[in-house]
Amino acid sequence: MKVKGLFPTLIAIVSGLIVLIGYLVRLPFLVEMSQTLLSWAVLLTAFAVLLGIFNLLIVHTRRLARKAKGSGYSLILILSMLATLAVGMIIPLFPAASRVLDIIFQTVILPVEASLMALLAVTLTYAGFRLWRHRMNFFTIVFLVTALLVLLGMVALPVLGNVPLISDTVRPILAQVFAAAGARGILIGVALGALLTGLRVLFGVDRPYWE
Amino acid sequence: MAEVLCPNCRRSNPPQARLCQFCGAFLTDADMAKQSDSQPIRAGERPVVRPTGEFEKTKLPPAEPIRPGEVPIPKDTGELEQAMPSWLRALRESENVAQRDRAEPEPPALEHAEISPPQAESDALDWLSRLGEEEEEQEEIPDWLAALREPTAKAQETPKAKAPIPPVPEVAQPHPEGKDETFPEWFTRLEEPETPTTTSVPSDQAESFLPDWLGMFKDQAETAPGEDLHQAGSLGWQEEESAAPVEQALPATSEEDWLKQFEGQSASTGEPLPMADSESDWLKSLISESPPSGEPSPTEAEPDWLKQFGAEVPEAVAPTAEKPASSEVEPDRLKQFEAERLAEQSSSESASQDLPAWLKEFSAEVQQPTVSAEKPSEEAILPLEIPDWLSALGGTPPTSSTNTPAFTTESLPPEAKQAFSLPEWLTSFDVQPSEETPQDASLAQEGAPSFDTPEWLAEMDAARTAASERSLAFLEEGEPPQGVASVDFGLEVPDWLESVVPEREPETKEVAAEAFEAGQLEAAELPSWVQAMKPVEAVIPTVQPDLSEKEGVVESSGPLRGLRGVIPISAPITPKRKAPAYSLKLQISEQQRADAELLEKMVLREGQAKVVRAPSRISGTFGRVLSALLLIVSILLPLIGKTELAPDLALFPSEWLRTQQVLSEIPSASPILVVFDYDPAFSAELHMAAAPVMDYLITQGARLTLISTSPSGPALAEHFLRATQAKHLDAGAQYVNLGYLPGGPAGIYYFASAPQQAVPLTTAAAPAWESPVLEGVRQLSDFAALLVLTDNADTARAWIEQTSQARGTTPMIMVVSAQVEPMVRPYYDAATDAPYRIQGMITGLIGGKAFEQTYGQPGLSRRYWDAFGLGLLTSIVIVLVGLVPGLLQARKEHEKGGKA
Repeated sequence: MKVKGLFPTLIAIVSGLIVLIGYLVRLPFLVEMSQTLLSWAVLLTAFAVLLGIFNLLIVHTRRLARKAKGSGYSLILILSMLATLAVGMIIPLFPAASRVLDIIFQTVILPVEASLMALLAVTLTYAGFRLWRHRMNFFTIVFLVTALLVLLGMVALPVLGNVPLISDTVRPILAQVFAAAGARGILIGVALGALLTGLRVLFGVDRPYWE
Repeated sequence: MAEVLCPNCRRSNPPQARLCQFCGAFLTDADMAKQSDSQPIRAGERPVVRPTGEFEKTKLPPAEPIRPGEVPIPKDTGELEQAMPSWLRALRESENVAQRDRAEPEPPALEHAEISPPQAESDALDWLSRLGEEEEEQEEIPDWLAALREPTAKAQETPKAKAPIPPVPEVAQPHPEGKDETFPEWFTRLEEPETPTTTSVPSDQAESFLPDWLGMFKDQAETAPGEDLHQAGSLGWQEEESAAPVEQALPATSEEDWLKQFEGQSASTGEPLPMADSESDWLKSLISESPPSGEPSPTEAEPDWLKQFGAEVPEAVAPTAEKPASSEVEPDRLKQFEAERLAEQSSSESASQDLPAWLKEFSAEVQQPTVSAEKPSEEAILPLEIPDWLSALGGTPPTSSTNTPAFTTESLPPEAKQAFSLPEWLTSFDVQPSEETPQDASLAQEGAPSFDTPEWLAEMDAARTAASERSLAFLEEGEPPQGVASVDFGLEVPDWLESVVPEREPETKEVAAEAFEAGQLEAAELPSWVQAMKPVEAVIPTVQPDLSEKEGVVESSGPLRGLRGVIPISAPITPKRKAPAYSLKLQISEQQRADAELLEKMVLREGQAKVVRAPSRISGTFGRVLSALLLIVSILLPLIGKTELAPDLALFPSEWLRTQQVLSEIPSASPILVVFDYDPAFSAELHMAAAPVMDYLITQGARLTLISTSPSGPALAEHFLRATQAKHLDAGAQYVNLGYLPGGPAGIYYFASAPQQAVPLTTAAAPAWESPVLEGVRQLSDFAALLVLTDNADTARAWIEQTSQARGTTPMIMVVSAQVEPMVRPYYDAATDAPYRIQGMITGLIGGKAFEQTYGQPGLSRRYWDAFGLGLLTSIVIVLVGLVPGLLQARKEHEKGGKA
């Protein structure tokens, strides 16, 4: 390890140890130090969000300056971002401005993302349709049959209501036994991975802050 | 000053040199004559341009090559003589002269006088050194004698096959007239030095015909006394022996090892022995037996060869000699030896019966010891009858009569002389001068300067260097030199003398080789450094050429016609063998053949153009559009028609009951923290899921505190309240929007640990914790319940894990999307006392519909319930419809596969 990278690594290790010990041992000074370090982390994260916004503005400004292909979209993005930022900045001064922000959210952000989700529903349905033809094998059949059973167990058929045996037995078993079992395995793996990652950072093996 | 250029190595030598100083080749007059035109071109000089027209005149007509089996046609190549280079002509001339000399019956005496001594001496060294080597390998049992006997016995079995041994001439009374009749020519030549005659061949020319190794001896004799020892480069071992004191000059080679003890005894006196460098060690031992210088020299018994030898040696080596050794004592001693010998011979007549004829004569001569005593005193140094071939060693007359003879032991103390005891076999050798004549004659014949040298002598000469190397190796191994002295030779059985017949030397070698192969002889173990010095030819297994190849082939045609050994015949380095024949047909098994065919088919199939049917764009687009239209219609129709075709939820989720209990336990007007951590895309689902619970809580007078870890969370929270709880807000319900909580899990932990420090202000920049909504709330556990709305499993896990310690007993209810249910359910199903346990969970539209039905307040769930059901049913139908063409296509492919 170079001397140049020694100091940041020491900072990271010491900070992590302080927060970890403060989490395990509720000593006042350790908790206070831990909270101080966490507040710095929250502040830096918030500043990182602002930094990301500023970087996005610079990138699209450059594209607009050199009149690259699709620079018109960059212009729309810059104007929209500056307008939303301005509205958000004036809310403390003008609380009624929050209404403007809600309109922007309801008329732009929410419909766009909802539409993408709706397209996902149509795309997944058609993918299931084609999957029979292009990849007819055991795993395809298991996948599609499982999906159909879960969907069929959730549906409330007109007039008929829930599908007998599927809604009350098959679907709960699939969602609460098999799927939960798989989820537990995933969570354990995630926990172990997080533990190992934390230890590697504490020991200075991984230095994500150095990249 | 003009220099002589060596025809062999092409190096310059002094004009008076007869041998090349570098390679040892002899220098002929022709070489000296051509020195004018063979001067080497030195740096800065330009070569002399000479006409070469004569070469163009002698062009031979092109002849067809000789094919195998054809006999070459002899052609007259006399014209080539003109084009022959000078060196080749000189070589031809020297060869012719040599042939003429062989044809002459009696070579000049001068030639013998100059050549025979070193030749005889070297021959004596060689065969005696070999005897010494063999004796070193045998300690008590003289196997070598047996080995030598065997060929002797074989020779006796076939006596007719060998040449008859000439009668022994009397050395003291030579008979010149009779020797030409009874002795071979070479032997008569040995006698010539005593009767010098005029010769027609000049001495220089005769010297030019000398072999290299003989020439070295001659040069040694001709050079000054002080230079003799150092110029004998080829006899380096002798040089060391002579130049160094006796203590240090003890056997330098293994040839003299067997006589080391003799010298050792002499060396014990501490005085150097005046030994000539050309004399052998066995002669040194003989010298040690000589009387001291103070006594008169037994010149009467001294043979000619010893006289000459003794006269030559002091000149070269013995500068400190005072007086020739006396010969008075030694004859007496020899007489005593001979008396003992006679006694033993008389007692073992049977043994003497088996002796060969020449040895019998040898015994007869033993009985006449006084014959040599009649020799002149100046010719007798030792009482031994030295054979003529040894007497020839004294070809060079002594330069000073005051020099001490080489064979005196006058410097030795008396006790050393007494300790010195000559072996019996050597004493018998000493006292039989006349009986040695056959052997010595043969030896002299070996050493004769004639050019018709016998083959065995040529082999001995050729192997001389190798033998000396081998003996040196044995010496380095530290073989005890006493091995020779310890051999007890009986006087009655001088067997080694039987075997030391020159004609039997090859047989002796063969016997020794056979004994070595049979394992009777131990292989010599050479030290590593000696092995490293071995020439490469000794390691490479080569095919040894036969004897004729060694001698060389006489050229029968061309400019080299009549010359022998001009073109060296080199043995092949590696044995020739015929290249093995391999079958060109590939031998493979049936399985390999089938695999190869399959591979070939695959390769050919890859090369063929495959017809790929383009996918129907129309069908794909139509399918997607049709699917989208069906879904849209199935969803919109219930919404537009506000139908309630689907009955209410009959099967409530399993988590509904416990969640309902948790919500019912929340006191009214209590602060509740609501977390909006979902994306706008899932707002519709989460609105339907959370609206009934939120409506219930607000109805109960709960004070809502909104917070989100997503940047869009605060807006979503406002949107949720306005979309679902508009009636309550209009009625004066209060809530606090804390806005965005950055930092992810760290921010959540920080907020759980210190909520007032983490989010001090609301989205309206007002002090949040001074609001009446948050009255009495200082920490997370002060909230009555935590309601987390999320569509992300990680976010749900972060809120569950990071707030578990801070919230204490505050219940946490997760309102999640249906896709997150499997990930959150483990926390819900955890044990009651687990720190990460959540107390309630509401999942998706079904959970919201269940709470709507519970609270009896129809809302969004009921509105979207038909659309939700019909849309799912449409999706299921579309997927199942896709199964039909899939099965048909699979069947078709199966049929294709079966046909293929």
